[in-house]
Amino acid sequence: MPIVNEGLEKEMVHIAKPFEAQHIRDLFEEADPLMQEIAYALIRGDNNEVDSLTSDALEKGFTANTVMDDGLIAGMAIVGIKFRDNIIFVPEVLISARAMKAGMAHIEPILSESDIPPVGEVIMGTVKGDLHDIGKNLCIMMLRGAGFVVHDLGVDTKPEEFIDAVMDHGAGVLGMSALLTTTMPNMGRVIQAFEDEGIREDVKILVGGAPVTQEFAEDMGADGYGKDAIECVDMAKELVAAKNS
Amino acid sequence: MHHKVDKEKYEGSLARLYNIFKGISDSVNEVSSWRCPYKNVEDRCTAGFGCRNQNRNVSEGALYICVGSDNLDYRDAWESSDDIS
Repeated sequence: MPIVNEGLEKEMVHIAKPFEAQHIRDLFEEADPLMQEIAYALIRGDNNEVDSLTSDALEKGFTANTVMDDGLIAGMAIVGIKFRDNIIFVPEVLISARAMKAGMAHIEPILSESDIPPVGEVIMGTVKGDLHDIGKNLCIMMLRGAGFVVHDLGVDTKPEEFIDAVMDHGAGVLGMSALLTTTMPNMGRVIQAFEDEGIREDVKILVGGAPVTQEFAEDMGADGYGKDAIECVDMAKELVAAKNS
Repeated sequence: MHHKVDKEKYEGSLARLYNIFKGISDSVNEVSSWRCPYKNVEDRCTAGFGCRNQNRNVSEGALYICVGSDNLDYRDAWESSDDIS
């Protein structure tokens, strides 16, 4: 089936490379119009619409695999191309990611019913005194896309809030970010707080942020360091594997 | 009652999504070298902290206008402790 959704068809003008445009059209070739609606709502970042359309689709008998592939991921593929080509920027990508999360909220219980557990559970936050959250938010988007359950503590997070969240959720990984050299030492203070509570061995700690380096991460006693969002995902997978071994 | 998820297909979906996000991550690194990542497509600021490039002369509830130049490093304009309770 060709693209029948008018809005989605209009989005195709942003796909400048012919082979990519053809690839995207191929993705929708066998997709139901409802999947095109989901994809278009995700591109617009309309999380309420993605929420309701995903729910409708599953109620109508579409499989979770179909909704993911033909709706949510197909839409995110267009978001990725628009971002690469500077048609949209990071805030718009994050708004689409929020919409994707709204759709995945309906898929996750079905994954659980299908005996497919999450890859791992991660607590994320920026440290006390740091309000710069875009790196953290990108990491969260990518961790969720990789199959992790992520609990976002937001910004300016106190050590005791990290500890409470790890204990409450039984999360295996804690991720902290800091953008400022002045707040970066607070990561070490959080790690020390876990040691003081006698629960340091219960969680793997991953750190990142523009001024953070591998050396700094090792010095403060972190288990892993990610220099960007995709490294954060790779490192989180490694830490989960190490914790389960 | 929903159909169960096909695990193999699901893993394929995650792999495709990983590739999309890897592309996005690479683009973030490139774009952030010349444009503030908090600045949206309408040149409005989405940051939850103060920045000297914010023009706050906007209607109530609207995002501040970013007046920063993409030719200058934006990081120096970020206020480090503004709004921290």
